Amino acid sequence: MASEVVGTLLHVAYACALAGYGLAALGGARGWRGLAAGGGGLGLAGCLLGVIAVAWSTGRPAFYGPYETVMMVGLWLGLLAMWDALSRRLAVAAWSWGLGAVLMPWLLFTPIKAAPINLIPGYLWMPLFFELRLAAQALLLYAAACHLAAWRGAGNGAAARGRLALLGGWGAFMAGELVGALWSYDWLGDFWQWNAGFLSSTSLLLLMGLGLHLPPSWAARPWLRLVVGAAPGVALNLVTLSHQMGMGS
Amino acid sequence: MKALSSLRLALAAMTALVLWTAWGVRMAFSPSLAPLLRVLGDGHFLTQPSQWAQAPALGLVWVLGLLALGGLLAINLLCCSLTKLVRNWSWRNALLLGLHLAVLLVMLAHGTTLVVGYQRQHLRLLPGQSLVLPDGSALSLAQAHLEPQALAACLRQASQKQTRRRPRFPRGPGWASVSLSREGAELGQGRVAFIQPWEADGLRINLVGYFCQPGPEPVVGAILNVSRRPLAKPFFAAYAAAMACWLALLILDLRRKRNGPAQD
Repeated sequence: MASEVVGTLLHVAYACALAGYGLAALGGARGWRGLAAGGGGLGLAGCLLGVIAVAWSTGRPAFYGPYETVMMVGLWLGLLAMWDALSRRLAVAAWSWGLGAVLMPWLLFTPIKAAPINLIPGYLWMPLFFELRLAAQALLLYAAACHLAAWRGAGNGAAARGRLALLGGWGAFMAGELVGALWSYDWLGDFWQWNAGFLSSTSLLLLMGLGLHLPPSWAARPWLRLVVGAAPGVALNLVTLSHQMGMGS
Repeated sequence: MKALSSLRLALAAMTALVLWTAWGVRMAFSPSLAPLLRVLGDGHFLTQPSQWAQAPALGLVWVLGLLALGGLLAINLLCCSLTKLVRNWSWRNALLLGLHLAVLLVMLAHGTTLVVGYQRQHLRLLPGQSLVLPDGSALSLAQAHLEPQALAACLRQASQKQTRRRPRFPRGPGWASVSLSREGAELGQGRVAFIQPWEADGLRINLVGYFCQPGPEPVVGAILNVSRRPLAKPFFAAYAAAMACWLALLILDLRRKRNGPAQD
């Protein structure tokens, strides 16, 4: 009975997030502030409900698996978008909601459920690694939204905010790598492993670094700024979701 | 010096490394190239040219290219730090300098794992067995213990001949008692459990799994990882310093943005 209630809650939360961010993106793009704010609020509430339902049913924070990943990233992204909408930066908010709406349909190809993973009692590095990864995913998607808005004429302020989000996302990802290295050192005895996971993390970290090292003359080219500003967010979310969906969790 | 410290060189080296490490990800899934990555993890690949002949040519190109590109980026990082950031003094540049130098130390610590220290993964030992490690130490397993429920699962898996699979159980309920000696003299003995390694004589022993031998009196063996990483602590210290500089830089940039004029 309880599992049926949880299952229903997870589905309702997902439907709210999917519909909410879709409507918010539409409202933001058209300049319909009421629809944008209402849709953004619905999406945010959906993500929050999903995250709470996972925590309630599993007794741990949401941090792993396709459902938890999408809802947590959606939650952070929705908060950033709402902050932008309230600060009258509707263009950036609309792109953030749009990217949130693009993220949500991934769950159509995977079961709507919490990941079958347990915490190691008293061991914080493992969940912290994933939480920092999720924060990095959201911040880098937000950076992509800012750069998309700047490219479509929202001004240099949006690009500057995008660069700051990129710096934030890079740091969150790198902090996650530090925590991951501690976890690996405790678990496997070494802070580095020569495998696909560690190499793809290095590749992504360097990709994020590109956007932070553009010479001023190159940064003045909108298309180049867009490519290096948006690529890390898109790549990190694609890599994470495809990996987690491949594991069938 | 000017060319070596340019942002364009940094971008070129980083772009090349993005592609190179992405190629490395593909390598990890290739049956012919993946063993090379395991050899790199074991250490001493660069200092033992005899191993080069056994490596596939494509893999060797990848390793040498990775070292060349990593070295180029490290030189660029150092030159840029010592010229642009040192000459134009400000608090922001001081933080950037600290961040860049800490990242450089992290890169160097990664690089030195190829020549200093070693690791051996998934060593399977039964009680009473011992094996000699690359530095001459001998690791012995005195006893491995599993809680009854986990032991039953282990034996079931063993009877189904699935022992070569990654053990899906048990991460928690058990421990192994190990000892370390050199030339007959005992260096120490301790107990390891999952995520609870034991350290002695600069060696780190991690319990990563168990295996079982069914029979009238089932025997539980331990799967152990052994590593000697003398630069682990400097690595973590440099990483932590980099994160502290990043956090301070982020706060500085956020405050600057908040105090500055509205831009859009």
